[in-house]
Amino acid sequence: MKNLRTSKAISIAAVLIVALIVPQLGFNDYIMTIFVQGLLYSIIVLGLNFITGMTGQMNLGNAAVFGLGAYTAALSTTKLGISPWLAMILVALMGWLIGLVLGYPSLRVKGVYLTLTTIAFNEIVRLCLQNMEWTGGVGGVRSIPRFHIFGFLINTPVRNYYFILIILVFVIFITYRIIHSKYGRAFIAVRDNVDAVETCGIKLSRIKVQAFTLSTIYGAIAGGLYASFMGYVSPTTFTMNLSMSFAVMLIIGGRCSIAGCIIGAFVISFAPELLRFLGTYYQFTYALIIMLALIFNPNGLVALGPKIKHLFVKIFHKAEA
Amino acid sequence: MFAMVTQLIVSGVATGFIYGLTAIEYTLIWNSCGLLNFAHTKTIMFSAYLFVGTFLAIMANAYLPAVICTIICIALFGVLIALIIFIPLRNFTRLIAVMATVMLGTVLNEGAVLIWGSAPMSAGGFLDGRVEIGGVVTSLANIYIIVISVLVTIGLRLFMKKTKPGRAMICVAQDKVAASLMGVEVKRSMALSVAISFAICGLLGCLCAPLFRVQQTMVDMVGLKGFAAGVIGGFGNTTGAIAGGLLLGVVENLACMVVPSMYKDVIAFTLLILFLLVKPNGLISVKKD
Amino acid sequence: MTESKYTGSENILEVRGLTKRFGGLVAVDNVDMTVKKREIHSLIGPNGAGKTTTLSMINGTLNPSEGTILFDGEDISARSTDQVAKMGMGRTFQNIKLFSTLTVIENIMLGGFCNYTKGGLLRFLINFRESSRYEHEMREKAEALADFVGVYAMKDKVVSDLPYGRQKMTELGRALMLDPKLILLDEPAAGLNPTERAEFIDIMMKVYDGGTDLMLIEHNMDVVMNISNMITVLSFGRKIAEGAPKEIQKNPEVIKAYLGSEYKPVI
Repeated sequence: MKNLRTSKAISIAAVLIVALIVPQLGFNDYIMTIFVQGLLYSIIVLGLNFITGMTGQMNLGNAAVFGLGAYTAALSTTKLGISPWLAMILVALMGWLIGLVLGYPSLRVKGVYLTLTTIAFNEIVRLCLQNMEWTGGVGGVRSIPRFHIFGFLINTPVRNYYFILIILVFVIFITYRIIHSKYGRAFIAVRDNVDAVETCGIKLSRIKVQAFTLSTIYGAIAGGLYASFMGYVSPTTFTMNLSMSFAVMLIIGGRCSIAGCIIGAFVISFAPELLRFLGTYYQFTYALIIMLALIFNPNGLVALGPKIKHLFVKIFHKAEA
Repeated sequence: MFAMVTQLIVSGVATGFIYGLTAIEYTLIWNSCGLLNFAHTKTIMFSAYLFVGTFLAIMANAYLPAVICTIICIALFGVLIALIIFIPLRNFTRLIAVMATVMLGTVLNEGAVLIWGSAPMSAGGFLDGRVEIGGVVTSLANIYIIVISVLVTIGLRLFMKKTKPGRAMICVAQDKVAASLMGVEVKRSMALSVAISFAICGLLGCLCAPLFRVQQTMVDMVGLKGFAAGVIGGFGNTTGAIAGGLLLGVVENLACMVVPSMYKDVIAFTLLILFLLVKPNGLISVKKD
Repeated sequence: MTESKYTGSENILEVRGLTKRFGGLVAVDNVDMTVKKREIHSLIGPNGAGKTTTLSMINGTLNPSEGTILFDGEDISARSTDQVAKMGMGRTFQNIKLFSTLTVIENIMLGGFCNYTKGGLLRFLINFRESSRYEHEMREKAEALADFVGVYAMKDKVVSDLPYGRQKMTELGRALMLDPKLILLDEPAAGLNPTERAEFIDIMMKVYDGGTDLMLIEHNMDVVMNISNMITVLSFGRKIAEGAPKEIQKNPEVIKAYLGSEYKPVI
């Protein structure tokens, strides 16, 4: 047991060191941008994990939440002229509000219906952002101000990387505490056996809305950071395809596991780069790989770890014998 | 004014039937495999490409044979997909099954790009032209869509009620275990449902080809609204699907007179959410215990 | 688990005129029933008599069509399951309802969800020390209960990997985590082998001695007659008899309901 804990601590430290070194490896700005994207998507997927991974309610409207967060930051900083820091508070409030507004009605619908509701929500938000005048229409919002920390402007991808990495570490810390608390267990309980949840004295509607709200707050915060990182937002980013990608990240990495969420977010963010050598066949191959991965490895990359270990042990034993 | 309203209603009915057929097509798979097939829009798109890009080109604009070839090819493709994807997926968590169908859609999408290129195509003279009935001018395509949809719906109903494989499909939809105990070959019945569903997708591809420019995103909205139509009409039954589709098509067309046309799509989705919250069983609910 | 947790009336549970209709079907018809404190009360009856429906109405899963339910003197007819559970009513299910992907100890800990908190999720996140203390207390309590019901050795195993009997024990442990005044047990002995059954009865008696009242649905007459001191018999949704085990055994109505009207008992 203790051995396990130390090995876990060592691997976490190793990952953190690698994460800190990455910007010093001389990647160009483009690659660094993808790294930052991976960090941002990690936050969203960690949020999505609460509702879709743990509670088992399929939410395909997360791109809209992401978009609303981004637009809240973009509009409040450019139109109201408030600081990005203050805007982040608004963004978090926005996430909370979406969670309540969407969460309570979604208690009435189950299964497929919930999925369809969230899809409809996604489309309504995207179409409204695209067509309303005060959101800038198709052009979106430009020249969104950057964050300042102690007079230090977060403007380059590398600076953004460190800035968002710190936030992600904080988010992971909170997520870890929730997952390994009675709340996390209650979320999984809802997925495993809805009928027994209330006999444990847990209010089902409340726990579902909590999971929902957590996911929307995470999504909105990631959106707010995204707006300031990119400097502009456009409604065409927040399509249903993006929502689908988030769900894919969650499954490919591994549900209910923090490491899985982050691995998934990075793998899917980097997939275009990794498969670039395929040229025109890239998109096709990518979709095919993901589809087969979903069917043949539904528990995600995280589940492969123990399998590989097992395989090694087996080979080792055979060699010994 | 009257002519305009009638015109809007006629084209609303035509679009409504498109939505309705879309709803029927995914309802078939939902009933038989318990799976929401998100690949259906891309299947329709793929059929449109197959129709315009391959068969019309080969057959020198012989429309009817081209339509038939498209439908047959897509139905066979459906059987293949059923065997390798849908039937194994029915035991999976819904999340994974749904995402797998989404990725199947992407595979089809990218496949279409590889085969036919990314430039949009047009259906040429297929169903081109206008007709005037009692002072109401409408496109020939609309009339064809309405007539063919009605025929398909009636045909499907007769097939389900009167033939053995059709009744087997109903049994499988209601209770797989009981159906297999009664000697119904569940997997074969599933494959048949998927094949019919894909055949309807093929037909829709041909019918949609003259309405939209043939390109990757041509029916994305139609697909989503097909879902909306299914829910509004009552999830899981074909009559409801058509009713929901018609309601949706007519309402969103008429609404264009009141709200700016760019919000047309918003109306459909708002209607969907309203129905889910107020009348989750839809207009026509299936009697299930 | 001491006597002091009792408040209110001398009856832990009072059911008056309880009725449940599903459409045209009357599943439970005007049932009156009283469970006194310090009583093990059994609810028996042939299949389809409405036993589980009655239990579900008592713990708030189903809303009664008519009638009132008093739990420790308070009217709970309109309360939801979680509210009733918080008041101290535990329940186990006929076909085990555990959280299959969680471990044994996590399952048991979930039973105490409402007992170890102040405030909501936000307070939990902000007040680090308080929340970890609660978590720690909850885990200790759950471990003690795991030991009590005999699943301590497998506490870190995923619950679906356990044999059936152990799963039943885990479910009982989860119900005990509420510090209940009353536990409703739906067919606790079903599916257990004789050894496990004896063990289960032993643990139930310990729970009872600890000050928790029990109400059970049971088909196994051995169990019913040996441990209960009051029996209510339902048949087709109606109460046909109530009394001590000895009386029930001789009651002609009960014998008729179980064995048919032609059967004449040889006394």
